[in-house]
Amino acid sequence: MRNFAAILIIATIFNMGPGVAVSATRFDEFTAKFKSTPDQARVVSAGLLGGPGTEWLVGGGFQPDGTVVLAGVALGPTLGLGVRETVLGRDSQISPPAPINKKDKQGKPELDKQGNPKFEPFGWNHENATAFIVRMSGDLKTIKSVSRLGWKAGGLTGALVDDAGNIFICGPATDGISSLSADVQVLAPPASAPEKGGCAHTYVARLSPDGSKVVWVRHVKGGSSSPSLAWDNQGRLVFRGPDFRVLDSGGRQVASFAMPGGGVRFTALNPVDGTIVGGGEHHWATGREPWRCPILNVYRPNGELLYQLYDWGGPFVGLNNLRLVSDTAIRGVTFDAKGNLLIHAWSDGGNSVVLREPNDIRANAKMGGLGFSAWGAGVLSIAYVIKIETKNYHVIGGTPWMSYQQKVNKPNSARINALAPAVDGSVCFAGEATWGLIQTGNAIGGGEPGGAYVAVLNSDCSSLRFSSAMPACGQTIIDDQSADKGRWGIVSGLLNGRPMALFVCGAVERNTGYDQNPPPAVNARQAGFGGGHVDGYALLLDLSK
Amino acid sequence: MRTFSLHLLPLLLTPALQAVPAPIKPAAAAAPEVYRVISSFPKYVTADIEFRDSSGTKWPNFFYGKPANDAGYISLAAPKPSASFELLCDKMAQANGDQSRRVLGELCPPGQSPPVKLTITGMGTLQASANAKEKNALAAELYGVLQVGNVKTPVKIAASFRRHEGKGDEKKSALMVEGKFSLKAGDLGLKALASGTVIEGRFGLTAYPPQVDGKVEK
Repeated sequence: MRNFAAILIIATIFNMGPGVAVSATRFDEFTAKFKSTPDQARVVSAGLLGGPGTEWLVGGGFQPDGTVVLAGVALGPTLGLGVRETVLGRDSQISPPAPINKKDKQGKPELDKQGNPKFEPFGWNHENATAFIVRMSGDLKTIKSVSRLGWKAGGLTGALVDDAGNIFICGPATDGISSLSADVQVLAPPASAPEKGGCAHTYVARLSPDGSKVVWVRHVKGGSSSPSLAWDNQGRLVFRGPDFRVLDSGGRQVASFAMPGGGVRFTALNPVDGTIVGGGEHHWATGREPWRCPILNVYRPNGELLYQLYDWGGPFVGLNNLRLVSDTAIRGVTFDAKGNLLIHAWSDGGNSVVLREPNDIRANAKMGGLGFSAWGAGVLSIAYVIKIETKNYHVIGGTPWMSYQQKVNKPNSARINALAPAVDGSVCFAGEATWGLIQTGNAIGGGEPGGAYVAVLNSDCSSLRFSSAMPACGQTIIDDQSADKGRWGIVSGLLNGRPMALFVCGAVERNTGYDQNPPPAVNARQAGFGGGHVDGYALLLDLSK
Repeated sequence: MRTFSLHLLPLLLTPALQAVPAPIKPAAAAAPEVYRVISSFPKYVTADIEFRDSSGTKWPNFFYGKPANDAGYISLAAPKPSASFELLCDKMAQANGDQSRRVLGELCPPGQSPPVKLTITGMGTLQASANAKEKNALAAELYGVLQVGNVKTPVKIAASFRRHEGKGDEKKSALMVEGKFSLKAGDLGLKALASGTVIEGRFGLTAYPPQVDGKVEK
C-alpha cells in the first residue's frame, strides 16, 4: 500500500512537469478564456476579390461617404473584376506571370507532401506589378469603380485615403509612371541612398476621390525597400522611399529626412514629433551571449541618433545576474496616431530582453498582456506585440504571442509579419502560426488552428478581440517591412462613424497547410476563386464595442 | 576460546569478505572559503555597476566589465572574512545617442563611457542574509572607493553573497555577489541634478573558487 502511494506521488509529480500529457493544456485554457471576450470584433465581410488574372490587395482606406477603398497589385494581363476599369496612363506590353519554383539549398525544386512543386510567392516588386484601385460599398458587396495604372507603370505597396476622400498610393515605378498625369515631377535623388533595396525607382501619386484621375505624380530614383505612406502631425503626406519625403496635398515637397542605416531594417516616422524609429538586429559571435540582439533606435528628424532602446549588447545581457540570452530581434515598427510606438519582436526562447523596459533592463515591462507564458518551451519562435509611449519610452502594453500544443502543455511557434494600430487604439496584427493558434469564438477559418492568421488585441494588449486562422490567405509578399516579409495589409479608420479594421492580402483557391479549406467567406460578394494564381482577399471587422 | 585469536578470523571468511577495507582517512581540514576576483578568468564580462535616480525621473545608467587585475579575492572564512578587489566597468550599455536623460548623462559623451571603477578594501561581519528570498545567502558590508570618470567617492555597500551550486558549467561553485549603495548627486559632481539628489547604486559580480582554471567547462 505504501509502495502504491509512493508510485502515485511520483506519477503525480511527473505529470505536473512541463511537456508531459495533462488533462488541460494552455491551448485549452486560453481557447476557453478568449472564446467570448466582451469586446469581440464583429466580422462585417470576408471574401475574395479577384478576376481571371493574378492579383492581391495591399491596403486602402475609408471615404467620408461610406465607400471602402481597396488598393492592390495586378500582374496582368487582365484584371477583369466584372466592372469596366479606368486605365490611368499608358499600358505596356505584359505577359502572364509564370510562377517560380522554390528550390532547396542544393538547388533542387522543393515539393509538398503530395509531391507537387512548391512555388515562390509573388511579391511587390514583380516586373508586372501594376497598381489598381477598387471602390466598394461599406459592406463590400458592391463594386463602385475599378481603376488601374497602365500595365507595368508602377506597382503598389502603400495607400492612404484622406478626410476628403482623396486617394494616395505609392510603390515601385518604371519609366511608364510619367504617363499617369499631366503633373509629374521627378524629386531630387537622396543624398545617400542605400545600395541595396528591392527596387531602384519609386513613386507617390494622388488620385481623385473617385479614382478616375491621377492628380499628380512624384517619383524618385534610388535604391529602396518597399515604399510606404503615412500622415505626419500636420496632416501632410510622409512618403518613405529611398528616404523620407514630406509632401503637402499639392505634391510639393516640404521636407526630407535621411534613412537610418547600420543594421536598421524597418523604419517608421512618429506622426507627433517627427522622430524616426528604426528596428532590426545585430549579431554577437562569442557563443555565450545571444547571437541575435535587437536594435531599436530613435533618430531626430535630421537623422541624428537620439536613443538606443533594448540594445544592451550581448556581453551585458549574458551576465550571470541577467541571463536574458534568448536571441531577440525587432521585426517591425509603426506608430499610432497619438505617437505611441508599436513594435513586434521575435525571440527563440522566453529569456528575452523585450520583457524588460526598453531603457531599464532591471525593470519588468508591462508585458503580461494575454497571460501567455513560454514555460516548457524548447527552441521556438515567440512573437511579441509591444506598445511604447514615446515621452519616456516606457511600455504601456504588450504581450508575448505564441501557439500552444494540445496534447502536451508546451508552447508552439508563432510569427508576426504585419502590425498596425486601429483607429480606436486596438492593435491589429497578422502572421503565421504552427498548430495551436489561440482563436476567439468568432474565428472564421473553419479548419485547423494554424497557418496564416489575423488577430486584434485591445489597446493595452490584455484582451483578444479577434483571432482566426485564415486558410489559403497571406500568399503574396506585399512589402518587406517585416523580417518575415509582409503578407497582410492592415488599414483602420472610421466607416460611417464606426471604427473598422480592414485586413487585406493575396489568397489562393485552397489551403495547402493544416487543412484544405478555401479562404474564409462571410457575407462575401464573390462566390469563389476568380482565377490566375492569386486573388485579392479582404476581411472587414467592426471594432465598435 | 582464548587461543582463537581474532587475527585468525579472516581465514574463516569468504574471499569477498576478506577484502582489505580501505583505510579511513582522517577528515581533511575544510579549506578556507576563498573566491578569486580576477580578470583572466573567465574570458567574458562578470561584473556590472548601475546607477539610478531615486526619484525615477532620469533613466538609469548601466556599466559592465571585469575585475581590473588578478589579485582580487573574497574570503568568507570565519572568524574574519575579508575582501579586496577592483572592478573596472569601462563599457556602458546603450552608449550611443543623446545621454542627457540618463542619471549620469552629463558624464557620458555619446559613444563614450566614463570608466567606472569600484575598489573594495574592507569587509564587515558576515551574517545570514535578511532577505528571505535569498536562501542560504550571507550578508556583509563592503567598504571601498567608487570612481566615475575622474571623481572618486568613498562607499559603504550592503552586499549579499550567494553560493551558486551550478550544473557543471563555469558557474559551478561560484559566488554571486550583489551590493547596493547610495550616493548624492553632489558626490559625483553632477550638475544636472540637485546636489542632494539620492542616486541608488548597485553592483553585481561573479567570483570563482580557486580550482576553476583555464577552459570554461561545458
